[in-house]
Amino acid sequence: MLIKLLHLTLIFVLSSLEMLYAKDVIIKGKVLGDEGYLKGAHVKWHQSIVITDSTGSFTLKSSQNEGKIIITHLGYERHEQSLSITKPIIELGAIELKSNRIWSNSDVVVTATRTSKDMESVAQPVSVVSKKELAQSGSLRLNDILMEQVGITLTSDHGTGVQMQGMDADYSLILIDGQPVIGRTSGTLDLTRITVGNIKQIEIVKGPSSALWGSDALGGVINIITEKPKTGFTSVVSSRIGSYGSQDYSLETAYQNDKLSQSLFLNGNTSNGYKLNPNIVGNTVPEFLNYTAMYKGSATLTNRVELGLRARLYHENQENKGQIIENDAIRLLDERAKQYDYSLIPTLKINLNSTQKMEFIHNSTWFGNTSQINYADNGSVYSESPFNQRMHRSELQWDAFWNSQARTTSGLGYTYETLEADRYVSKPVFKSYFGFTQLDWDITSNVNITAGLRGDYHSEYSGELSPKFGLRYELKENLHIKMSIGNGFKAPEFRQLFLNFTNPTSGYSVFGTSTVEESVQELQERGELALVLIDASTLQAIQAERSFSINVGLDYSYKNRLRTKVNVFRNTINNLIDSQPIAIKTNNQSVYTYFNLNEIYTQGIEAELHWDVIPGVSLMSGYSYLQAMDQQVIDQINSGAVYRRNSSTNIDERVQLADYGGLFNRSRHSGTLRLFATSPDKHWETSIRLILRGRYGFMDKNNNQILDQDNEYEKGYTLTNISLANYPIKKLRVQLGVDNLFDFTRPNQLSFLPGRLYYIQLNYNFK
Amino acid sequence: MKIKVALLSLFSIALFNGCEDSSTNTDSEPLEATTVTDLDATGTSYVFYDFKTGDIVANTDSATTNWDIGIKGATIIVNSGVSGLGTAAAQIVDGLFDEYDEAPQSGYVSDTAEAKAITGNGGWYNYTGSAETGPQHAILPIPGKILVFKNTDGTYTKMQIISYYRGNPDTTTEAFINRDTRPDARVYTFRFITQPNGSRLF
Repeated sequence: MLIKLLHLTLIFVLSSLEMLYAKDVIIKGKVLGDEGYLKGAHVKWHQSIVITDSTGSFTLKSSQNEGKIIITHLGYERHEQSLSITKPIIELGAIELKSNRIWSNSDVVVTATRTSKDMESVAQPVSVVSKKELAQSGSLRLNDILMEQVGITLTSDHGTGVQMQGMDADYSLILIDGQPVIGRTSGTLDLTRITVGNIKQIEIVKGPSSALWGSDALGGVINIITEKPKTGFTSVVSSRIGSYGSQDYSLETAYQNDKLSQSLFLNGNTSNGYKLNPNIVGNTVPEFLNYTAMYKGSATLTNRVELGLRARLYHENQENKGQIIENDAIRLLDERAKQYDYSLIPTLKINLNSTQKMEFIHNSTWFGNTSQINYADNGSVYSESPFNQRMHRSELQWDAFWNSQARTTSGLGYTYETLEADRYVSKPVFKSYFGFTQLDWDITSNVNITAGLRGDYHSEYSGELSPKFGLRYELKENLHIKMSIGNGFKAPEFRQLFLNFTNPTSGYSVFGTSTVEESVQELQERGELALVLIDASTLQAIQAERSFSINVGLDYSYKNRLRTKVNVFRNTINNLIDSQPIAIKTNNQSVYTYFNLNEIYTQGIEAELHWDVIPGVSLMSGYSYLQAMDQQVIDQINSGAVYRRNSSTNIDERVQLADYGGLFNRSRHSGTLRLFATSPDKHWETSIRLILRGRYGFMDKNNNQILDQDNEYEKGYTLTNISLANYPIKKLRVQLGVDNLFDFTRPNQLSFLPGRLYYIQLNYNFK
Repeated sequence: MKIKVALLSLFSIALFNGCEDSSTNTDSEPLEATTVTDLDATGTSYVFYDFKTGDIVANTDSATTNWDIGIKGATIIVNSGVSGLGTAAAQIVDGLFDEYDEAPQSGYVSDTAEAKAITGNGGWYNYTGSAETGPQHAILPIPGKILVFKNTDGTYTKMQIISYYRGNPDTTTEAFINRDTRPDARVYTFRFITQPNGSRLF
């Protein structure tokens, strides 16, 4: 380590010296790619290498005045040009690189490597949702658009979450501009909190990314990249009204010049909610009103230093009705919930020299919600439960280009988190430190490897080391093979460590692993325990949930009109945390705590096809095959120890392995079929999007807690969304759409699905 | 007439099959399971049951060894320890009732003040509580659980609780999930076999 550090310092000093003394000639130029200025191109002149900036510009200083200038960039053909310099400053002007990519309009992604990189040059399975796709799909919130992506299934459990590679919503990380969104309820980060109004693109990296992003990145990482200001003043207003009293208004305004960049986004979103089950008092989704405000600003102080600030405010009010039965009388309840999420993110970017940069990012986020339930008749309080979570994280990232083939990305950071809630005895604090490093190396022109390692050290449980390795091999120009292996982990949550909860109506208790021993002792002293199943003092410290995964994929294109991506994956997840009873109370209710219990695996294939049928018409289809199994259940079935009740006779039978359907709420088959079309004059746009989901396990019906019988499945379903847009004038876009055209609902399970929804949306662009 | 003949022949086939079944049994004396339907344990005192006679024992006999088990609500007691004058003991084992052919040699416990020999919730049944799906606040026997008793007279009994609800209903139906139409709880259907010769083989 020390030697490596010395080595790096030496290189740093040498390169600085070189810059000081080499002042004979200056070569300037601009590099262009498919979509204008090309950032990150390597320009080599003798021993000097510089990287182009965001305007594609470069400036080289050298004592050499004769030779060959070489410009390279991933996804582009190498550019070579012989120069003989006679003047002290030579201006080469614009140099256009020729693309050699599979996809002519490949996206640049940051999520897979924490640095900008062409999507197709990444070893992991990555997909990008573009701004255009967002607009044509008429999406408002993050869940709307994620639902239409292959290999992603929405789940309803204390909020709308995502299931990726067969893993629950707890196992995916949601980022906004590379910074984590916090505030999970029962493991789910509610996607409806996030508006997509000012999004440039959404990057989805599947499989584990803990080697870069730390905890929670097991199933995948979803990174929302917000819009960057364009030169000059720009403003966009949009409004949308739709069924269920839904209204959405946005204003996006930005200014940019050479030194300064400012943008402000405001969004208001409301709905009357909807009711799917007429037998229940209150709505399935309550009436709500929320606001989002986002500010992004940056100032270039000197050539090398850029100061930035990002702020996000989110606030939501919800109202609903409910009822309870008290003393055999029905009493109506008024339910009010508030939720907030504020974050403040100052950044400092320093270009140490042309090949190295440092970025310091601090993130302070405050998340909280309050649920207040009052009796409707007299207004007295039935229950009130505040929940407040704080996170302060500081991190430093260092990017270095060693030559045109190799670069490293490294970082260090510290996180301080606290929680305040009535279900917790004290105010728990989490402190954690992390450090990571990653090498991204083009070994030859068609072989690239990425290798990374991250360490996380935590105040409340043992540390984690997460390695990863990725390999990409260009077999042919239009055929790439990708492979990545790595670890993911999920730190125990606050509740799993510190919860102290007794259900007021039914009387069961749940204790976190840090509090269980003394809490059980207290219950025992009060004589509330009937039976101790497991002695709390013998419990082992809880550990992080851990995964090991492998992804192997193939990208293929045919004449740039037909693109396919296939990825095969397998994830093995150990130490899954689950609650189990450890004692029975005198009221016949159980006392639960958390254990590292199960081992599951998920495996499958995802395939995507993108076909440009004719200019302006694209057909995108995707298919996902998934198996998600509990290893313990398989072992038990193999040893003949799993039984079920025949529901008509109530006589027991032995379960065979062939009957086992794996984890609940996973569809073996699912897919999407989407058609996007733009008229030749670009005045009309239309889309038809089908979301298909095969049958999935819904509930155990024969009392063995596993999925093993046909009547435990729910039928598959198809959702159809359509939209039509027109530009009556160039600046105005009018869109009409119908989501869920055939009015499919499943009230008790798919609460995120409101039935048929009509909308009209207007966007006006002031530029 | 034709119908009568047909019925007769069907009957004889059934009889013949029955004979064949019992003749394939290797035991000298084949043991048949006794099924008890709708034993009402809704009362405030225990219902005592005698495995030998297959009868309910009068409550006035509670301080005798005439009974083997007592049932009240979801609680099952054995005639020993804090519950009775006998020396009975019991345990819950995993397996299928029909296949289970030998009672364990050891592992039996008697009722104590702290715990009953037969554990209820998590033992032979699961209490569903406020389950998000399926029936709520229901007591559903766990499949593959067999209650094995070592009775006061030294004989062994294996028992399976089939239902906790009147009429042994299908617990997956809407009628059961809806608590307004759910049949009465604390009404047992169970089956058992006692080996009268004192061996542990069933």
